[in-house]
Amino acid sequence: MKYTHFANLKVPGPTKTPLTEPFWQAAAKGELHTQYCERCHSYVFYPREVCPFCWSNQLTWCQLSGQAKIKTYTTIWKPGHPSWAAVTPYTVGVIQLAEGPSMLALLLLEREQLEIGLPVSFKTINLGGQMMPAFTIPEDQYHDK
Amino acid sequence: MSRPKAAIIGVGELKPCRVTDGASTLGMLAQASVLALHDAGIDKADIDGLLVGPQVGETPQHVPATVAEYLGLQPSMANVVDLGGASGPGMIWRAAAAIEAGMCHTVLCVLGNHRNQDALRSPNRNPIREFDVPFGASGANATYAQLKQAHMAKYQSKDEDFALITQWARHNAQHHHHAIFNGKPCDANDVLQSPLIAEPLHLYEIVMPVAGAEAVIVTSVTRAQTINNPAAYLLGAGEKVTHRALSQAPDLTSGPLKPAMAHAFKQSNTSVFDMSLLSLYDCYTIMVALTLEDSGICPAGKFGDFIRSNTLGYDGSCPLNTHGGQLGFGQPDLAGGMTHVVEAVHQLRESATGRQIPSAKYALVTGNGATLSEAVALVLGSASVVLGKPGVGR
Ligand SMILES: [Zn+2]
Repeated sequence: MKYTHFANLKVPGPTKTPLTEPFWQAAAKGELHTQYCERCHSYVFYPREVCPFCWSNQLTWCQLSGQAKIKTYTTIWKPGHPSWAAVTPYTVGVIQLAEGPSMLALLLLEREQLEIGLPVSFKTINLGGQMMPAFTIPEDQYHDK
Repeated sequence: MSRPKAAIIGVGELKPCRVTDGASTLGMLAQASVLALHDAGIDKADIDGLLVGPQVGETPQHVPATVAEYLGLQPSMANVVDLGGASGPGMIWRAAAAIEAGMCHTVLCVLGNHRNQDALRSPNRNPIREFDVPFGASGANATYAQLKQAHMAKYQSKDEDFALITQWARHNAQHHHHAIFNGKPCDANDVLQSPLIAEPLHLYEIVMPVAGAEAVIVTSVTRAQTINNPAAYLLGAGEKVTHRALSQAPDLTSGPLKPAMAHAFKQSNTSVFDMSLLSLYDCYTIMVALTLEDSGICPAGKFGDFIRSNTLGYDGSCPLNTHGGQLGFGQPDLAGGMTHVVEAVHQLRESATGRQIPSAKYALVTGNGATLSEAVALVLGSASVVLGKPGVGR
C-alpha cells in the first residue's frame, strides 16, 4: 500500500539485454531467477556470458529462494537522479542472497526497522510500470495492488 | 641478441560478422578471453593484469573495472590503452613493462566491439545501468553512504569521528589560498548540523564539485639531476581493482587500497610510520577513515581514536592532506585525485609556502575510483632521502 506511488515514477529503467531477459521475465512474475554454474556449482548474479569464478559457459537459469540478509543500506534524501525526488526518503541497500551472490535493491522497510544483518525476503515492486526487485521483512503484509 | 622482455603464450579470436544484434561487447570480450586462455593452457587464476580498449561499447569511464568485474578478475594492474588502430600492439609492450615493473606477471590484453543493425539502440548496456541505477542509487553519494553505514555498524564508529575529518580538512584549507573553503572553516558540530544527503552522510562530508586542472611532469631520475630545480621521487607504487558496483565489492569495510599501499611500502622499503605526509584521497569522510585503517597506521575500526589523539595540520603530529584535501580544496573532477600528488611534491620540495612540513622526507599518496573499486598508492621521497642531500634551487 505504502509504495503504490512508486508506480507513477518516471525514472531510468534497466537496460536489458537478451542475455539478462530471463531475469526480468521472472521478475515480472514476482520471482527471482539467476544463473547457476554447472561446472563449479556457483550461483552467478548479475547474469553473464561466462561464470566469473571458473569462466565456464555452462550456465543455467534457476529460481532462488528469495531469502537474504541486509549487508548495508542508505536512506536517500537527495537522489542522484532528480526524478527520484518524488519518493524521498527511500531506502536502497546491498543484500546478500542465501545462495551466495550480492545485489542492490530497494528495501521496503521503515527506517527504524533497518539493520545490517536483518533477514529479508524478495518481492517485486512496480517502478514506473517496470517490476523491479525489492526486499522486505518476511512477515510484511505489503501487497502491490 | 638482447634479452626477451616478454612472451606471447595464447591467442583467441571470434569469427567476424557484419551484425551482432543484441550481443554486448563485454560478452564478446569474455568469449575471446576464454579462447585465449584455453590456447595458452593456463588457469584463469594465473591472470593478474588487464589491458583493455576505451570502447567496450557500454561505458565511457571505469572501463577496466567494468571488464574485470564481468570476468571475475581482480587485477593488480589495469589500464586503458587508447591508441586507435595501434592499441593492440601498444598493449603488448605495456604488458611487458608492467611485468618488468613487478606489478603483475600474466596480462590479458583484450579488444572488441559489437555492431548493431539498429544504430539508434542505446549502446549503454553495462551492468550498473541494468542493476544499480534503476533502484534510484545513481551517483556516488548512495555508495559511500552505504560504506559509512557498514563501518558504523561493524565498529560502532561515531558520526562525531567522521565529522572531525571534515573539520581538519577545512582547517588545513585555511593555509592554502587556492582552496574552495579557504576563509570558511567549520567544526565537527557544523558538519553534523549540515543536511543529510544519503543517510548517514551529511552534506559537509561530501566534496564540493569545482572546475580546475592539475598538471604533473615526470622524468627520469638521471635527467632530474641535470635540472636545477628540486624534485620529488617515486619510490614505490601499488594498484588494485576489485569490482565495479558496490553490490559486487568483496569487502565493505576494507578496500583495494590496502594491498595497493602494502605494495607501495614494500617497493619503497618504507612503512606508513616513515611518512611525513599522508596525502589521502578524500571524496568522502569514510574514504579517509578506511584508508587510515587499511594503511596500518591504526587498527581497523579505530580511525576515530587515531584522529582524536593526533593533530593533522602541517605543524601537527600527523600531517594529513595539508592542502585541505578535496573536502577542503574542492574536487575538480578527475583532477581531484591529482591534487594529492601536487601537494606531496610541494611538501617534499619544501615549496609549500605558508604550510611547509619541517624537513618532509616521505609522502604517501592515494587515489580511489568508482565505488571503493580502483586503487593506486604511491610513496614519494624527497631529494634528501634519495640523494642524501637537501634539494637545490628554490
Ligand atoms: Zn563456474
